[in-house]
Amino acid sequence: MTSTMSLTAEEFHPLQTQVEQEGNTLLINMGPQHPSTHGVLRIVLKLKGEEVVYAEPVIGYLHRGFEKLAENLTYIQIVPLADRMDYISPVTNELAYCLAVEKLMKIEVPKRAAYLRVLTSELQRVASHLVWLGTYGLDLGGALGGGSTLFLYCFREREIILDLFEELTGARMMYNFNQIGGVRYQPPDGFALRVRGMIRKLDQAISEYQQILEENYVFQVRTRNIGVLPLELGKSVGAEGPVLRGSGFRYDLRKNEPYCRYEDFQFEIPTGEKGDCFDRAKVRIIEMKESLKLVWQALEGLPEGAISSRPAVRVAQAVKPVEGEVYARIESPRGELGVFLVSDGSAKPFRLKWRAPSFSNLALLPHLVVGHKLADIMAILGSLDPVFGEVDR
Amino acid sequence: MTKSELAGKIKEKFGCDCIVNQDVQVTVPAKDWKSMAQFLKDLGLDYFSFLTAVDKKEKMIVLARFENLEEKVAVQIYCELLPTEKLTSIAGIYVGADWMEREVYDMFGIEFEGHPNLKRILMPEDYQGFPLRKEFPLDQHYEPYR
Amino acid sequence: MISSLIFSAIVLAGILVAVMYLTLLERKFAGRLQSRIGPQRAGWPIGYLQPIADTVKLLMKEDVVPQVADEKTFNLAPIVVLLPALLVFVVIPYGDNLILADLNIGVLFILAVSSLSLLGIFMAAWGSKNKYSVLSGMRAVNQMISYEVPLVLSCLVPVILAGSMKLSDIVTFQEKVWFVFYPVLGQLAFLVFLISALAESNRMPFDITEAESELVAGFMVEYSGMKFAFFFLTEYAHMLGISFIAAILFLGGWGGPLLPPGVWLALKVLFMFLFILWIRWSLVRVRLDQILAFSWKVLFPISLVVLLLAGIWKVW
Repeated sequence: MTSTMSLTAEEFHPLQTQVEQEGNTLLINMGPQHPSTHGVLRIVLKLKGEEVVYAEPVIGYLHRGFEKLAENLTYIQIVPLADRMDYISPVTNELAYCLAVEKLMKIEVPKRAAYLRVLTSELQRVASHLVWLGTYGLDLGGALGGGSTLFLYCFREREIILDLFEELTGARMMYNFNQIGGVRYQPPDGFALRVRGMIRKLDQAISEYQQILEENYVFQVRTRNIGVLPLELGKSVGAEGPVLRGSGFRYDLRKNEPYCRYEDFQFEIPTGEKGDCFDRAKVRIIEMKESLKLVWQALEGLPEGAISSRPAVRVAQAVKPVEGEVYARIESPRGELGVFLVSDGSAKPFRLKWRAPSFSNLALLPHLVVGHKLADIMAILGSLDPVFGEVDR
Repeated sequence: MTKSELAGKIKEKFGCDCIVNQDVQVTVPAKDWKSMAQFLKDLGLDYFSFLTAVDKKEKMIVLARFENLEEKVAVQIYCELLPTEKLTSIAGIYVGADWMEREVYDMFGIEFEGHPNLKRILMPEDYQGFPLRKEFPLDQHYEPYR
Repeated sequence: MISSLIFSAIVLAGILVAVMYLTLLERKFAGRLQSRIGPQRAGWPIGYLQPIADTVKLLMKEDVVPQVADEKTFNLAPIVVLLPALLVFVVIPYGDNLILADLNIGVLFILAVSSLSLLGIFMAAWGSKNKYSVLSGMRAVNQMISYEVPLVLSCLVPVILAGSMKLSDIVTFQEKVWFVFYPVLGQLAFLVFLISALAESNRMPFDITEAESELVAGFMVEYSGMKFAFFFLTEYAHMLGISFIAAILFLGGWGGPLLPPGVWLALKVLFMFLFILWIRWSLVRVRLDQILAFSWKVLFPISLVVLLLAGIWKVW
């Protein structure tokens, strides 16, 4: 059967075609190309019938060497690079990085800039959760079926938000909006009016999705009691955000360690009870509604003033922090996004560590999946909401 | 438990001085690394933030950060290592340290003794070289180039 | 003899063309559900040339047979899957006295023949010699065997009520009142039939065998070109068959007040087909063990109860 030009399947890659007959387990590979995983992830599975006995995620397919690149670029040049880490919510990435540099250099950000940062971060949170919901539908229901209906509806709502961002910054993703010292663009005329109109539409749509999740029997049956996360395991791994809040722990960096004037705003922190997939989904949907409230409040209270306390980016001026190190963190839609910055007094960082929430969340996968069926892996992976730009950096 | 109380307890048990500004920062010798982590976890700092390394040319500094979320107390522990020294793994104490230590090994070449599965995580498994070390050039081809 | 040959040729051609254009209907309907327009360009502005374009494309594709595959099983599977789905249309009455073969055991023939597709599916899964196909094939066998029982039991209800397995008799019995309007009995039987039929033909929400998110296209993953088209056609032929059977057994066949019988039948079939499509594009998938639990713990007892009720109704 073999010829010199071809290999049999058994010879091709031992790990991929091995059928281990120890205890009736089947070794299977959910490869890096997949119709609906949220990016390039490879999971090596051992199955006993339909039940998962062992799962190991293999990552690194999207590694771009961000931390090494950052050691060779000036502080201002890193902002567009940070955009591209978690590419689903770029504004929060820029915010984390800028907060770290501002903390190191002890720069005060003007109030108008802080409110604009809150406005865009919360709009970005809604957009990111809409992507999560749409792709969750795809995971559960398939690209040809009910899942894709949910997917297209969510992306239709997300287009509204992306149009707003395009008005504000000129780009639909990768905005380069937050700068060290403030923000870059002023909102154009009529922006507040359009945002208010859109908030009403989005609120209605999100209420519909909430109804879908809570009343659809099939969705309930696929997500209740699946992937229950015990609180100690979550904290020990470093998961935070909707993943930890789904297990009942009321902690949100915006409330507990406020940054960027979040203490001026009123909003609720939703939590789940059990920590299963349904609770995490519920937390994210309610978070979307709370974010819309925050956007409204930010618009109402937006003061006049400067948008940056440093000269605009177009004027080249070197940013040279003093020697030292700092750790700044924000609440990204996925959890705690932290930036650990070590500076040696020169114009380029000495070490920039990007503490990505999806990296810690994904480390939970082997623990949550064991004992569930093959079809549940997708439900659990979707509820952890990993973005592989962050995981691999 | 406030930051100063925590600093006091650490000094009592290990004899190391702590710096207290935003968080408690303490430098630990390599032999005390694992017992310090266990001590801090027993004190209630059960949230594992991150574990990383900094290459300061003559020495490597490995640092880890733990927190107690309810009481808002955080500790960053540092350990200074020679470039060829090894460190004990705390993957048995904090589950998140598993992948973070693999990443430190992958990027810096620091080995962790007692780690259940120490292999490369971001780079391909048969890659040679440790990218985040300062001697690894950014703007040239690095042999073996793939 | 000649007339029946011509008739069967017309039926065959009609079914194949109808199945092709049903794919277009599905895509337009799905598009409208998802706030977009379906295919438009091929045959502007409606897209009525899209199925022809698809057929031409599939005919021109390379026929890939994996080297490790079992060639005979692999090549025979598409045929074994398609033929039973087409055979069902032999016994269906298209109008008053318009049947290809008015068998005495019409219902039994349909049930027996449509289960043969399962053999083809497993041949495809096994012959591909691919872990994902085998997994999916086993799921398919499991699911289809479990749903045979409620399907048969619910199909027996019209048989009991009409007193005969001949399909034309069942239609003429429903001249006054359609079976679906019988209190409790009719609706329950119809519901059980619909759910079992959906599960039999691997449609959403029961299409775990073709789940793209886990096992890309399931047992069809190694097929390309015209063989893939066969599987596709089978699915739609099966769906069309189910719509016809539902319309005849429960919705009164070609009977109806004003319009000619052919139009009534077409309307009912269209209604059933759109209903099945609607379910597909609105629901997410159910997990396999939940599907099987549903069949054995819920549908099977209900179908037994319905059968009992049918018996009581007839005797009373």
